[in-house]
Amino acid sequence: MAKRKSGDFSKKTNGSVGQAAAVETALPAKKQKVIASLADLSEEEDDFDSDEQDQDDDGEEDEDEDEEMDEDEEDDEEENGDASQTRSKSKQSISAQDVQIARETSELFKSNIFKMQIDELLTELALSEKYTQSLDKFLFQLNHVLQQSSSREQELSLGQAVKLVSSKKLAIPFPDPKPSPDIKYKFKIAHPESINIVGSYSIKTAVTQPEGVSIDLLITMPSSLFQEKDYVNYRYFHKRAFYVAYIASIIRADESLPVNVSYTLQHDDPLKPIIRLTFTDSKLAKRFNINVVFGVAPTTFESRKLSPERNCVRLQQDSTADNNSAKMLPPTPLYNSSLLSDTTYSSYLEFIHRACHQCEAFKDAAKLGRLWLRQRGFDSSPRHGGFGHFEWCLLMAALLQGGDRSGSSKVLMAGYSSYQLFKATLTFLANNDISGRLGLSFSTVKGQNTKLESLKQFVPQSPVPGTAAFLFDRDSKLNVFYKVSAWSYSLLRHEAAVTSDLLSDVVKDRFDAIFLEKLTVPQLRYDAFFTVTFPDFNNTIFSPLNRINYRSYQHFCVEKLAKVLKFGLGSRARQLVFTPLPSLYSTNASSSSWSISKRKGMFEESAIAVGVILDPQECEKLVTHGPPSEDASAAEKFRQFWGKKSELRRFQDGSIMESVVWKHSPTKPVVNSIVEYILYRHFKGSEIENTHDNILKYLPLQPRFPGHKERSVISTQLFQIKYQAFQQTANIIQNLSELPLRIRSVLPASSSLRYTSISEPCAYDFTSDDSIALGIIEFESSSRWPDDVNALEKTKTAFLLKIADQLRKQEKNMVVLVGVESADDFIPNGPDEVGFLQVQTAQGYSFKFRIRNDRDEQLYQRLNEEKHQQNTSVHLYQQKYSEVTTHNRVIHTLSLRYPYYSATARMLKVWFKSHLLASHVRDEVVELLALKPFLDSSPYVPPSSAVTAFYRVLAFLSTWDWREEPLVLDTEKASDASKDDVVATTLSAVEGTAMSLPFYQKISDAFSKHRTQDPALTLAPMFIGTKYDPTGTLWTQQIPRSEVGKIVAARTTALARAVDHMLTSGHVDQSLMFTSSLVDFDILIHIKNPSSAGDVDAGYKNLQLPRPVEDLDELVEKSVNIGLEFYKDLAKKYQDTLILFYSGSPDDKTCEEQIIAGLWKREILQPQKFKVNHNFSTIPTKSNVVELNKDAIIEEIARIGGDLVVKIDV
Amino acid sequence: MTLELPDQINGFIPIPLLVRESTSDTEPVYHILYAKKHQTHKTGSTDNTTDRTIFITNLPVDASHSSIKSLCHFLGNTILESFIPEKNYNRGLVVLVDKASCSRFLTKAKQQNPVPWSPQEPTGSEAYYLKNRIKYPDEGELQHEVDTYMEEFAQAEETKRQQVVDKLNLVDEDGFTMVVGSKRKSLAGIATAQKATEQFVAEQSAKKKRKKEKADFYRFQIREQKKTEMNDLLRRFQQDKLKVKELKERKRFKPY
Repeated sequence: MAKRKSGDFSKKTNGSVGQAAAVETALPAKKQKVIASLADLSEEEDDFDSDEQDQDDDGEEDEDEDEEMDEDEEDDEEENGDASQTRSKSKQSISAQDVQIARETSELFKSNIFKMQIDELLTELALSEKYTQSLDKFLFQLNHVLQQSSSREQELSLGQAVKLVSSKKLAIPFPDPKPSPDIKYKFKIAHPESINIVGSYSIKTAVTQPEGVSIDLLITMPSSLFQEKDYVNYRYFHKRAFYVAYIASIIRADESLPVNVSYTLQHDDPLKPIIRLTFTDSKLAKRFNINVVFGVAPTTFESRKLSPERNCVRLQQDSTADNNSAKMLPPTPLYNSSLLSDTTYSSYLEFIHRACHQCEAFKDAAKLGRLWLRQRGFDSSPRHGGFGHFEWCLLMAALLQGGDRSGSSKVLMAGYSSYQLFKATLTFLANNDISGRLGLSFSTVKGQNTKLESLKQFVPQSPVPGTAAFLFDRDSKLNVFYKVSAWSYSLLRHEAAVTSDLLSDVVKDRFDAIFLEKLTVPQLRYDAFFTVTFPDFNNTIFSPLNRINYRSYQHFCVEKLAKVLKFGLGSRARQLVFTPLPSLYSTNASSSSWSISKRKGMFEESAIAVGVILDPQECEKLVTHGPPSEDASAAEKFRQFWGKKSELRRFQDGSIMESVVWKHSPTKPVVNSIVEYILYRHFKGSEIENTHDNILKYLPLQPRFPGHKERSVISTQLFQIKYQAFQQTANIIQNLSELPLRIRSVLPASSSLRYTSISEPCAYDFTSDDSIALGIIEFESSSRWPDDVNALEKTKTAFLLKIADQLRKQEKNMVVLVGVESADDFIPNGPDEVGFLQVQTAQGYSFKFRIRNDRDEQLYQRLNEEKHQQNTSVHLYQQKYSEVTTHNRVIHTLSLRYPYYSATARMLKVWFKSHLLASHVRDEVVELLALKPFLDSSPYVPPSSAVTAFYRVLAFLSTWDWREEPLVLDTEKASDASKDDVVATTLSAVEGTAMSLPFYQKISDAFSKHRTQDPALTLAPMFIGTKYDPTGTLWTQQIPRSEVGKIVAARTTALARAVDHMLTSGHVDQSLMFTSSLVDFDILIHIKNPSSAGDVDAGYKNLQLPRPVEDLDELVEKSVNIGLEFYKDLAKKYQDTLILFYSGSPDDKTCEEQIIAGLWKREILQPQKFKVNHNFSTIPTKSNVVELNKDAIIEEIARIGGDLVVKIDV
Repeated sequence: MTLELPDQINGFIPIPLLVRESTSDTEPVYHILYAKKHQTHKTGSTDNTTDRTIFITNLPVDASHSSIKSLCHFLGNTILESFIPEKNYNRGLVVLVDKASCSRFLTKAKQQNPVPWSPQEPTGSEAYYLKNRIKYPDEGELQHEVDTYMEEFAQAEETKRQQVVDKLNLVDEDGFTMVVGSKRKSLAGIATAQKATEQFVAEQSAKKKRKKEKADFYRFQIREQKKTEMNDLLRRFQQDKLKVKELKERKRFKPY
């Protein structure tokens, strides 16, 4: 029963993917009715049952039963509330209204909690009424000033106009090209036709923003200002510019207005200067600024002539051409749209108003969309993608009128909730390509539908800016999306697809990722990241035609850059993103405005940041394939593009293709080389700088391996070689014939055998962090294994001796050793001794094997019971014998599946190590944490760069509230092939949105249970649940319980936050990121590690290949890590005195000078009464109590450290 | 500055060990031992060492047989018989050759003269190297050691096996005879097996209970079900409400 309950409930709250979709499509028609009936509920609770009946359509229940049910309900409540107190309380708080809300939201929203979060968010975003009142007052005043202005109609020549304006110390913000002095047409002064508030403030969808809210005040210029033909050759824009100056002069002249007046460009459109008003009052200035924008009645010009495919700017020689020949001229879509958009204010405002009226949730959805876009760096200005709140609103309004091919079925329904509107709009964006052959056409006329149709006739032959995506107004001929560029449209769809998938996630709450997280930090968002400085301005490239078709030289460069990079990177790049440089990126309104005494502002940017989201499978490929040689024209184009680099090659399948071959580099991704080459070839004079951090320099390369200079940054080649050597050894052992028991398997259990050791493995090398890799020999079960732990271990040693014997006979080139070690370091409180087999293969790899069998666990369990310890031995046994092999398998599989995982995990290990945390965070934990960006990639797609992945892990660690949430990793899902079916149902490559609910539930339950058992976080502060470890604490558990874990976890969070802060503030100092501050420690033991081989990088003194080790003494000397041994010894001896932290260099042994840092245990710092069982050194004080004898302890450490200790700082 | 120590603390005599001599600009450093005549709580103990044993706590971590031996030598020239440190703790028993030595040791200790303390050899890197070197004993010896152990173990097993057989023949108070598989080797093994059986039985019966009859047959069942669903929904709703409130308190809904 219990099981069913939870299943049902999950359906109710979340619904399966299919169901949710079904609800959304089926609901609209029915929904109104449901709400209405639910509303009735709030008046009379009893109706509730009949409503349910209506809905369920089973019609079986009748009046009598309703009564029965009411009684039942009471019983139920008695059962539920154990104490009468809670019962009355619950009766009170669960009101009929709650019932209504709960039911409603479970249908209209993803889940209750999602809706509640949306509500909270919207409250948070609401404008403060206190300030809107002052704002409204000002707007009223401004309106009054403009209305009252003396407006004697006047006609002026250019000279007169300039003179008039400059007499008021203003400049006319004429766009380029300036009107030539000999123009015949006149400029006019006239009273504005109307003054209105437009934009989000007028439809009440404005939200608070850190840089303040821009209020759009529209001045509709009288049509009488213009002549029929003014739409050509900038005449409209010149006249408009004069009018702008005229209005600016009026506002400036009135000293009672508490504002500063300046010019700015409307959405960076150089043709359209507008007036920016900023408040002198600082409180208002922080919150609002006003854009006075200029429009004109739609009837002023014949919109047909401004359609995107038309030419409206005649180049000099054609300036006299008539309309017919105009058709032959190159289209000027950007110019046309720029003009047309001035004519559409009123109709769009009305259109959106109508949508708000028709659809109650429209405004909320608009706000959600606005925030969503903002968090992803989009806004209406083309520099930020050209898709903002206005475009979002208009798209939603259009989709309320249709949206499919026929225009008959609607994408958005009037009855949708804000969540549904938001989701359906995103899904529409993700699923439909409206970038060319198809576009979305709509009409603001009532009753007209929106449909997907071919807009070929409006699209120019060769792509020009302004035609990348189409939301086409059939009436005005305006492409509303004219500011959207091809790359930003592609990015928008990408983000929409990712968010759609997140919204379809029925298991995890994705609210934060969708609305609260800012996705614009380049180090987190992109896999590759460059700064490109444009070539100096050049008249020959930036031809007159280009000047019309591009907003600016910068715009031209970006578009060109986008084009060549897209072609050159091909399938390697999923998305290319161009953003203003971080230093110039400022949404601060005043930054782009200029004084009204100047014609133009000075902010041509000379460089741009290029971000690339790569395809992990494609981006490191060495060959760029071109067209087959038979396709002559395509091949020619390819050769043109790549120049000498292109060559004909025959491939394995026999095909002959043009292709370009690249080289791997241990420090540079292939993509970087390609981009550099493309820029060199196609962007002469530009400069490129790789701004993504090259943290790979913190990851030691194996310099001893010949040919290491031609390996890829992410190569796991050296790991593979060692893994193969292990498998060979395993096979040899497994096939030994003369053993009394059969060997079931020989399994790897070491970080270098799952590709995650910090150093790359190399033959005969003992300086790496996992040079002697561990393996487990599993024997088949037999009743002949002894029934006592010590005897069991002895028997294992006997077996090892037998194996060694046989190996020696059989494998002449293998060095075979059998040893025993005190189990103290291995499984404290376990058996007395544990045997091992150590081999060095003919190729020079060393492995150390221990034996396990089925009975072990039971015997270790018994050991716990005998010694009255809390599962410590058996837990350690699991860590070291059984689960470690599962972990190894899982991680090995995943590092094959995700090529960037290995480097990420290794880099993360370096990070933990640099901060002296590696001694407390197990390798396995780091490896699992490093999986996060790959297995649960939200809000991004899995990274194609180890550096990016590394940053994402840290970003996750900085926000992970491990007290409250488990980390759930679906390790199996990603590794099995059935995953590919799931991919088909998702829209993007985002990982982790299709976790199985029972699995997640199981982990969540385990987490809740764990927290109740470990409220003080002394057992396992971090909980990482996986398929193979649903307990979540296999690796994070502290044995024995202690405060240390909490300290380490808190420090991890704090350090990750510091990095996150660096990223968001834009000042990344890599060296700082890997240097730990030592000020927080009480004691610092500086040691000199005699095992160090000296700094490998310094002077390359050890570059010669390591050689086989001759004898046992030398082997021990080379393989032991004395620094680490010293740390372990101290940690054991002072377990009740000090918390110790050890930092080696990344691989412990390359660095001579090392540090063991310590904190006195807090609870022993106070003087206290003498007790026999004080397990820390004390000294009596005068008052007959004892206190910690720090001096003696330090002496003691120096004594046992002997030659190791350089100095001890306290 | 001279060290001032109480004569005794909780019945223990503090004994200062001089672990660092003073220099012109540093004070000497002392480590303090706490010593007391050993008292055993075991009554009727046959152990005849009790009256010549001293219990010492707060031993330095590098205390060893040789360092305790020289300590004894310093304190009244007493002769150490054995030193039994307690594993993982800083205390241990010092067994002297006779009762008189024991009293002499304690009398001397009461004078609280600083005792010199010399490190256990080897220290530092050599110690850690050796610790690792001895992991690889001579394989012949290892083989021999293992063989001997296994032989002794086999004998002990046989004794235990005999115990099992004896137990088999016993009839318990309810008149049952325990049945044990021929492969059980010790009483402990039986105990574990019994436990496992009990657990298994418990699990099985729980499973049986869970096996439910048809749940949607009667109308009242359907209604029940709906109501539970509704209640679940409401319970969830309340939980969610709390959760969101909590999130809000943690200032979570700040998007910028």
